[in-house]
Amino acid sequence: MILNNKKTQILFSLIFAFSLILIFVFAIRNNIKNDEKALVEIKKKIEQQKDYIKILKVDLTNLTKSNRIKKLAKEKLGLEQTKIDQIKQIFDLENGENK
Amino acid sequence: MYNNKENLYSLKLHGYKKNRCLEAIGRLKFFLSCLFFGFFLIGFKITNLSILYNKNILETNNYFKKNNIYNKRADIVDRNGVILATSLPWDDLCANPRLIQEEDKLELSKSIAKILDDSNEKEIYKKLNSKKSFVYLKRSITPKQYNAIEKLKQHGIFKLKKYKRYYPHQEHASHILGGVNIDNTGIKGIEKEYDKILRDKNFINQNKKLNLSIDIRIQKILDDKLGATISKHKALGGAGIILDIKNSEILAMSSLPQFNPNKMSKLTKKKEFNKTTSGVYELGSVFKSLTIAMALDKEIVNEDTIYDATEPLKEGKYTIHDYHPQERHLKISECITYSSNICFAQVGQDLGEKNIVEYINKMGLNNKAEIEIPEIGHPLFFGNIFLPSRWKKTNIMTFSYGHGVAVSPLQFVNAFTSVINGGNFRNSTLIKDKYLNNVQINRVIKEETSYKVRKLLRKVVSNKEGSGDKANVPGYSVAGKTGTAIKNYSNRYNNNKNITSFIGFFPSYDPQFLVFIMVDDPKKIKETFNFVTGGWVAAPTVKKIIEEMSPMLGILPKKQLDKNYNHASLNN
Repeated sequence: MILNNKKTQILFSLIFAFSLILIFVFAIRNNIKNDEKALVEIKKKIEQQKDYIKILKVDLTNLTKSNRIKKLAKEKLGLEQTKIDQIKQIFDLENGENK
Repeated sequence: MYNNKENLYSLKLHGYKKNRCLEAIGRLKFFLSCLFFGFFLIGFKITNLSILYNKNILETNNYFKKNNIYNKRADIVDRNGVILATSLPWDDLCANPRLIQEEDKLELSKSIAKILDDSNEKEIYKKLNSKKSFVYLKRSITPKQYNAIEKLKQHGIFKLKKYKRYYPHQEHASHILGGVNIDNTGIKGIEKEYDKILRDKNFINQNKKLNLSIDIRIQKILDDKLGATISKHKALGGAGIILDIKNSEILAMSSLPQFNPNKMSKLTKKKEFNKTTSGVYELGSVFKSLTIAMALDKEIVNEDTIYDATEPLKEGKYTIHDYHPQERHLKISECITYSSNICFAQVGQDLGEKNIVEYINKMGLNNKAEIEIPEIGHPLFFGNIFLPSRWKKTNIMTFSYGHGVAVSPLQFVNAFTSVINGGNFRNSTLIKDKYLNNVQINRVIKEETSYKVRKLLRKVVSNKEGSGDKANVPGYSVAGKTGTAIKNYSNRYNNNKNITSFIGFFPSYDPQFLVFIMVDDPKKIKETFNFVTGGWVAAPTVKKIIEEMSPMLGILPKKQLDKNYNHASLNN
């Protein structure tokens, strides 16, 4: 009876449309929320990886410290600090000055 | 059925029934309006909550911000990109005492103390008994320790991730880098001066780094050699600077003893003090290099000027002696080679106070040095140095050989560089490429004067009788000046305590690197025949540094230079 009324029909149509929009907005909201969560998770993982890289870089810095290399070169290879008189230029060698 | 209002009316209801029917339609409309309005409100609230104010999203973002960006600082690297300071993730062990059962607290504190090794069980127990809902049990624990604690399965115990500053080179370059407090705020050195930039989120996100001019390899050489000299002479400490003269960039700067920036809580005043930039000292004879530059520039002396050094110079109640008395007339080149105080006191008198003040201003000795760290000392002068009328004769004389004026080693290095680099003043920097496109010239002395000074200073090292001959490195044409200053304690000089120094540069014909070494109160040792002078203590250290750093920087010795190169006279 009520639905026969045109105005009521319009009213119900509006409510229906509004509900649909609400559901649509709700769905978008959910998607955004999920995407945001995923994004944050990805960002977290990137940060974590960056941290790991940083730790590795620090490890590399520790391993390549000049004092350590010098010590290892001396212990394992018997190499000493280069002395000034050990440095020759190619033309010195060609002229036999290294003898 | 009544389809619509018309039909309703078509029934031709009358009286009471018609009125009831109209009232029912009105109620229905009102009910539908309320329903619609209710839906609208609910819809609006849902939209607001879910889109405009999504607490979950905000919380997650906040978590991200707090845990990943907050506390993080950008890296500091040396001129070759080697990490000097970085932020590494650490965990703080925290607790909510309200969530922990009273009967569990004692056992829990015992277990945690056992896992953390160096923690006090009573202290932990006290914290767990706190009425607060949040307490820190221990800052910066290792992942291994946290895994062990996690096995205790206590809901009230949790961790907070944070970033902690880490300095892989430990104490090396500590006075340059400075350090941070427990909240990761810079409190010293570069960390303090560049705090805002290092904490800037955009700077960090763009993966930018602060590039310093120092070379950590050279820094270690400086620290090692200076440290060895200090140990050998049982000195109180020392300072050193290695500078790239061409671009005014500091390659290494050291103040010993130094501190470990990873352990800022164990910082002592002695270690904290930066002798290179904060300390001001009467540096002694190294100042003669500045005096000679002033006198040559004003054409008060020339290379052939002769001064009388036959006997000590008396002025009032003071007598000026030479450390290596020659007891004869000396040419200006000999005055500097033998480091004659008697000669330089006379040079100072000839130069006059007005000229001295003019050059003090030009060389930046009047104000504190400018550098990218906040620890800077103000120079000390006798009386009012800027009023030449207030100068006494003895002030001029003592200034000429580096007494009566106390400046920081950095300030002196800046002034000395302006004398040997062609005559331009520029503040030394700790930032790489700072002066890359800078062509500004602050002329201090003429270019030809600079050339003459370099020539004279080369003789100090190349001449076997020169005070700096122990800094000579074959093939590198080292030039420089020694300094031995008597230490001043509360306006009284103590003849038994010295500050010895040597400032050297190479190659003398086209200065590229400068090495300055200062040793505070070295003790007499047999190896140096009980001499504690700049020539015996600091000069050999400079030699060792040059010998080690040159091959590292790929600078080859040039034999030809020693044989063929002579500083062609400017008259040619």
